[in-house]
Amino acid sequence: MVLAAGGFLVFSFHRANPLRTDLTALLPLELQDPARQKANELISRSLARRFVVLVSHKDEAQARTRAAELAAALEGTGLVGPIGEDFSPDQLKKLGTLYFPHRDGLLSPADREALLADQGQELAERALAQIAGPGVGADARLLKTDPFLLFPSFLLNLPFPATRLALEDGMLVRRDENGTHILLPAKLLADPFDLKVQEALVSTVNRYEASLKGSDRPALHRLGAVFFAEAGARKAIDESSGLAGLSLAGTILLMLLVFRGLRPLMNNLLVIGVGVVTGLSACLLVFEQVHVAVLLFGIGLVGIAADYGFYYTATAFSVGGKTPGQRLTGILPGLTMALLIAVLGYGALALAPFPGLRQIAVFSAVGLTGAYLTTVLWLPLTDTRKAPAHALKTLGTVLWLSRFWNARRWRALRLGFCAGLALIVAAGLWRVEFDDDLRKLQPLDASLSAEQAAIAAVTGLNLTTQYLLIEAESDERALQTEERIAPMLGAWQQSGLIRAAQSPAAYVPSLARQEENGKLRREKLAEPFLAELLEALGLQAGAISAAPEGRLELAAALDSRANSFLNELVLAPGLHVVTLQGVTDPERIRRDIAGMAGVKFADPTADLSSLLGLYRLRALALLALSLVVIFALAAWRYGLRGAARTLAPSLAALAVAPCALALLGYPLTFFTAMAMVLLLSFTMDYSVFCAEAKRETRPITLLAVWMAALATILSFGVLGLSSTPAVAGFGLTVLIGVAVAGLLAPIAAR
Amino acid sequence: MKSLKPNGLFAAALLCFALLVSAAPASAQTVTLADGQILRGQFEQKRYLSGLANPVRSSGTFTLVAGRGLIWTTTKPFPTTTVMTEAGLVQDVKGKETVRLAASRLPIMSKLYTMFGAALTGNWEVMQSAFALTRQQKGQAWSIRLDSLRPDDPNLPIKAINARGQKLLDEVEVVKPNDDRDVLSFFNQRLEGAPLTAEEDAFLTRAQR
Repeated sequence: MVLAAGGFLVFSFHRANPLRTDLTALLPLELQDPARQKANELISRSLARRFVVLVSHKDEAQARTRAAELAAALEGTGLVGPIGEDFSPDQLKKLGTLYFPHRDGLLSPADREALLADQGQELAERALAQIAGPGVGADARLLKTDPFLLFPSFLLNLPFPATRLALEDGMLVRRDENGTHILLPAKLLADPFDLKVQEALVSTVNRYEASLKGSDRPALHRLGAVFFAEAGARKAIDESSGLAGLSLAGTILLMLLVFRGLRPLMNNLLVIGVGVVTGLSACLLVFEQVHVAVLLFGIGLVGIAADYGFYYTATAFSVGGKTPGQRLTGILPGLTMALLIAVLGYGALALAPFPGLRQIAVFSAVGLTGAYLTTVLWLPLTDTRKAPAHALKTLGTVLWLSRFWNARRWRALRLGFCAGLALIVAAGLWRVEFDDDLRKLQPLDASLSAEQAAIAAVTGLNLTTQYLLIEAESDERALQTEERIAPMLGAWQQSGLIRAAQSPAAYVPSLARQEENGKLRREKLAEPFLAELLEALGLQAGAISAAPEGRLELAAALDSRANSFLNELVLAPGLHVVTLQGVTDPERIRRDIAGMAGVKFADPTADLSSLLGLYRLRALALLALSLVVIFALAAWRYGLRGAARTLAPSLAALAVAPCALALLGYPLTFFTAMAMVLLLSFTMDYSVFCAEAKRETRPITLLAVWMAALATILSFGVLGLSSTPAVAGFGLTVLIGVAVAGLLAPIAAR
Repeated sequence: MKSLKPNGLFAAALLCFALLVSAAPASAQTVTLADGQILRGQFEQKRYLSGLANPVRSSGTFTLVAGRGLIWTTTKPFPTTTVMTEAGLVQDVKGKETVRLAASRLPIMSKLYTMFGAALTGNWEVMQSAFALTRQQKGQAWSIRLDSLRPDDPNLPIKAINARGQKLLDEVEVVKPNDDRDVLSFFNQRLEGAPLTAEEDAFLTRAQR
């Protein structure tokens, strides 16, 4: 079984890297709003694929050469599409070809306003001025097909994202006092959250940067989700391998110190190894992919599996020459009860609809069961040990320590300890703050943020993450909704609430709007003013070729792929996105659209934060539910008073940990709440071991409990050292809670 | 169905460019405008469009302000003011802004201004990347012919430019690939150091926004 699981793991990792690094993979499946969920997914998928590199140099020729070299290097990876393809002259040609046959129904917003206000005369005069004026006037071919020059006006007013860049000889260029800047806009062909893709891309840019030597080298700046994801994953992996090393070394040292032998060490490592291998392979079997965070978390969690091994190994210290089988029988109820409670506790996690938590639940439940079975079936077979020479001395120490809870002379200290805990709770409770702001919990890489700011300063380019989601029964209806809110968007722009917006209807008006435009053009412009214009130009009416009345369908525009922005704004039939740039006051926007059917404001980071807040509440509710279930189980086995005693250490841990954290200045986040859910499972192990133990084996049980607590502190507490606040808060919660519960565990003993 | 390229617009913008260049003193030996100096004059434009029996005529005055831009005031057939600056092109009809082509939207506009600056210093050579230059000098009179190196380039829809002058530019012809052409004549040009009128200053300021 274990071999099969191991084989499956090797196979899985060989076939494709199943590790995921994107945060969205951890997100809940059950959002209140499936449309928004889908929109978020689709948008992050398409936006996440875009990235840019800015090449700056004092000398323009140098900047161009280096930009071309880097573009070639990036394209050479095979992971990146042709660089700058959306900005090629070819793309402009495609736009013209798409729109021109449908010009009858296309009007720029200002021209439409003018016609609605009966200002056709002004448009006619503008046309004459353009025709006669310097440049701007078009050639005869255009005049005969569009005498009022409304088509160029429409094209020029398409809301392309405004930047300070200009297209010159196929490159996007800006010059300022620091020299020439060239922007390389690129699109990944592969998944930006695939670790291998990230590494290949980032190493290509890094290699190229390193190959440039001397004082004359250009400055490179990068911007894109792929770079942030790579930095985040690299940090997580670097940090966790450091922390994992620390925790493993500590655990091994602990085992060597207490058990003093290679075989107990090997046996316990076997228990942990089986837990990790079976847990991970079960996860892969069920989910096909595992998030890096789950892997790290799960491995730490299975460190708890060591509890079982420790408990069994500790029984070797008992005197009286019992066989391994007898020793196992002695602790089997405790082990089984602990497993039952742990699986129940982690089962509660599976109720939370976060894929990440479900992965943790499966990982832990299967991993712990694997560890339990290894302990029960395997350890007694390999165990040939007699009680070690230092057993009596070790147990004596444990016994001496445990007197703390019953010796009369320690009474004052006992009371002092409990009073201290009570004081922490009393002082901390008032300081508990809830904060689920994702930006604080998982801060972005500082140097990449600085590069992002540098690129924004030079180019005016910014990553958009806020948008309006338009939902309707059809594309036509969605376009009409967008046309209805267009004046509001204009007002927002005027008042500085947003800097710009891109709406699908601005690129392809609804059929109804095109029909209306055609009519306006005929009645308000052609009929009253065409004859006059033609006369001024010296053109015969017969020379004019009327615009065909065929309308432009959104689907046709999408198929033409003439405008890649449009394709990104239309997620599905009837599901559109209006991107908003430079939002200054999200609350105003929420207020302004409140009550509009089919229009929602989406701010994925803020949404995720409020979602985390919601799930923090749910996690705390799960915790309460678990407590009830566990209390019922304990009452059934130990009676009401016994149950209260058994739960006391856990309850103390759950009360002290968040209050102590609050005193240290940490807010209560979703991650703290999850840590508390797990804390209950960990600490119940200790209580159950103690409650199940007979009086004569109590020192052995306490030895196992304290080792388990120390191992947990080593595997989880070290997370408190992490530089990511979310992870640190998690680690500290477990550290404090386990320490408290470990110290209080003897209370649970009958 | 003939498909029309939006590049017609860029062609138009480039035409402005040709005009700008031609409005500048066009010989290496002749005047170079110092920053803030003003060149004023009158123009007459005949635009020959294929399929139209007669050329579209317009006439008026121009003011070229070194370092700031060009104000092109058409008085006939009716009052129109076109201002070109580094920020782009702005056109007023009867005192109302009807066209605004920002350099940030029509990238060619910024290139236009770069080349415009070069042309101001009498540097026709800046055109050499796109045109073959042929000069002739007969006493005071000079002429120059620019032939496009890539007449099919949609971003540079100018086939040829012919310019002639004596001290200053007298006439320029811009020929497009479809043989439409503009012929511009200039009169009464004079270099001034005098300040701009308030109206001219306001035009340039608004156009530079």
